[in-house]
Amino acid sequence: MELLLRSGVTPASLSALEPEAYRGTAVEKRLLEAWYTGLFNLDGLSDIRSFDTTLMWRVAGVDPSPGLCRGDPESWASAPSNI
Amino acid sequence: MTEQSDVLIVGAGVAGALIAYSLAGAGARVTVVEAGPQVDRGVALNRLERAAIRVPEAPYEMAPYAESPATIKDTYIQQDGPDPFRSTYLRQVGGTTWHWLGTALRLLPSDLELRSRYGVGEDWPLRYSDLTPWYDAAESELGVSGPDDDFLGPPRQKPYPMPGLPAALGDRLIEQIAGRFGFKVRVSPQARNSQPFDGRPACCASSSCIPICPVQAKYDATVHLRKAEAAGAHVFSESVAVRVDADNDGRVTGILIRKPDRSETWLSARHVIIAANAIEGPKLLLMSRSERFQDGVANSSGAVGRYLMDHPVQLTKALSPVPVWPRRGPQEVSAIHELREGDQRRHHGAFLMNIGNQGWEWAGPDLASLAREYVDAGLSGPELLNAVRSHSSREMTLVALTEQLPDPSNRITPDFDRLDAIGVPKPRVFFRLDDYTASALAAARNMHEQLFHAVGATEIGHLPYAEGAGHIMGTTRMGTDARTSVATAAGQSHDHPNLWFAGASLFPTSGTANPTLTIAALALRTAGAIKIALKQ
Repeated sequence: MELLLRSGVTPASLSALEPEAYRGTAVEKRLLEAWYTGLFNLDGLSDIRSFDTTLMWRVAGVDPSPGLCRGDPESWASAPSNI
Repeated sequence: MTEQSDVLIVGAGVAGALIAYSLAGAGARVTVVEAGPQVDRGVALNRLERAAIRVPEAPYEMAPYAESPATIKDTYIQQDGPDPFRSTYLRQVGGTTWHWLGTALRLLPSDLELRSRYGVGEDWPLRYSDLTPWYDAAESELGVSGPDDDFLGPPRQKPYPMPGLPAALGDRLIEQIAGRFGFKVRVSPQARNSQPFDGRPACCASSSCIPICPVQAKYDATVHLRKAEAAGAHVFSESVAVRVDADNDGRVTGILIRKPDRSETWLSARHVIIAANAIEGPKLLLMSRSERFQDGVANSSGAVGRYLMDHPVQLTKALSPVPVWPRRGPQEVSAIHELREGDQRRHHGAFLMNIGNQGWEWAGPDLASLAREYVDAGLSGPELLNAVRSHSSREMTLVALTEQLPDPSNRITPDFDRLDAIGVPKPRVFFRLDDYTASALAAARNMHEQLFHAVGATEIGHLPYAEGAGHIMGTTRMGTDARTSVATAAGQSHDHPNLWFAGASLFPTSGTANPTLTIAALALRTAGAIKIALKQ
């Protein structure tokens, strides 16, 4: 996921990947959730968070994620330009 | 006998750091003991990255020998009252300034005269004019950015050290309708660099002031601890103060320190300063019982540990009609101040209304929960993306910090039946919100609703309980009467001439501003008094 995002694939293009093939199974939902939130938790076996590459921040116009420097103090005074 | 130090400071937070810096710079032999460990900013940031839930203490490893309250599933404080005491703090070098928001407001003159003006609470034993030069000094030391703007209270004597930060988009939306209510949205003064200052960079918009600033653009107490050390002070971490000793004449002779391996060292000093926040400070005094001082040190009034206060928080969330793109920049940038003042204070607490710039991260659900909720609902692809974006970009929060009156029942005591890993009693807290504060919370809910309705917001919801502000105040309060207070206006113990207090535990009332700037101003004032005492 991290490599994909770093390779320049945008959230929109990822979202468009074969949307018709998504059936909403439990596994698919968990994978989608992991993609968005960085939290992977399937049957209590795994619990992994990779916060700074999660899609939800990019979707929300928060890029990079909180905790990482984003710009100067003027950067929050206008709408994000990178979405 | 020759004491090891001129001044021994218990606690390495903002108050202790500023006094250490001030006195070491004046040539005094200064020792600072801090219960918790040193913090490595890089390690803390890495820990934050791995945190499943980003609570304020998430980046920091809680030491078993220096526990502190946890936001979720706390096992440190025993809660005895009808209302939980929800504020937390950090025990580590730099104290809670590691995860403070950075708001650096002054109190209002009326905050110090609540009894005289409104017939409730207490008056402080000093006037606003007594604090003014120390506020100026504190703003210079911490590095405060502030707007060139009118403000409630007396005109400023000096400009802020730095220009104010820009308002967030949500602030500007509220500003469009604030005038209808007689309000003005003002960018808050904050100890956050709007430009490089004192060797630290400008804010880089990381949106993580709580729990940690990645670049120290936001002031924290390690700034002055480093300066104090450069001036000759010694700072010892992992050193838990477990007893204050006083002789039969009432002079404090020193402090017993316990290390993580339970070994003990006794440190003597000419003057001792308790700067260990309003929970740990009084706990230490009450633990220091002896035949001569059976109720603990500095406690002839019985007020030590009592009058615990916070600024109980009313959180209200809503969805804006237009995107305001929160979560970019400081978690709160601006506020509405008009309801900090007024005759309603005779009947209910005043409050400061902060405009959140953090989406629903505090009020909930947070962004991860929102995404999970949509996925569970069956959304995917562009539909999911658009739903998350539409919601998250419009999330707004209003955050009212309400005033709380001093109540002797609200207190902290050491729990001698619950000991930590090195045998030190954990705190026990009785806390209740009275009608004065409950009415303020209700008034805040009402005003939040009106403001949100005025901007056309939807899905307005109030948090059904009062959050803690992290503003822990009042447990070694100052006053003119030694029968009802613990310290003088200078922070000096009524009972022990060489024992001093620094921090919000000195506050007789909670006031209507985040307390850190006042803590800093009082600490610098106390340092001035100790300089004089050291010459005697």
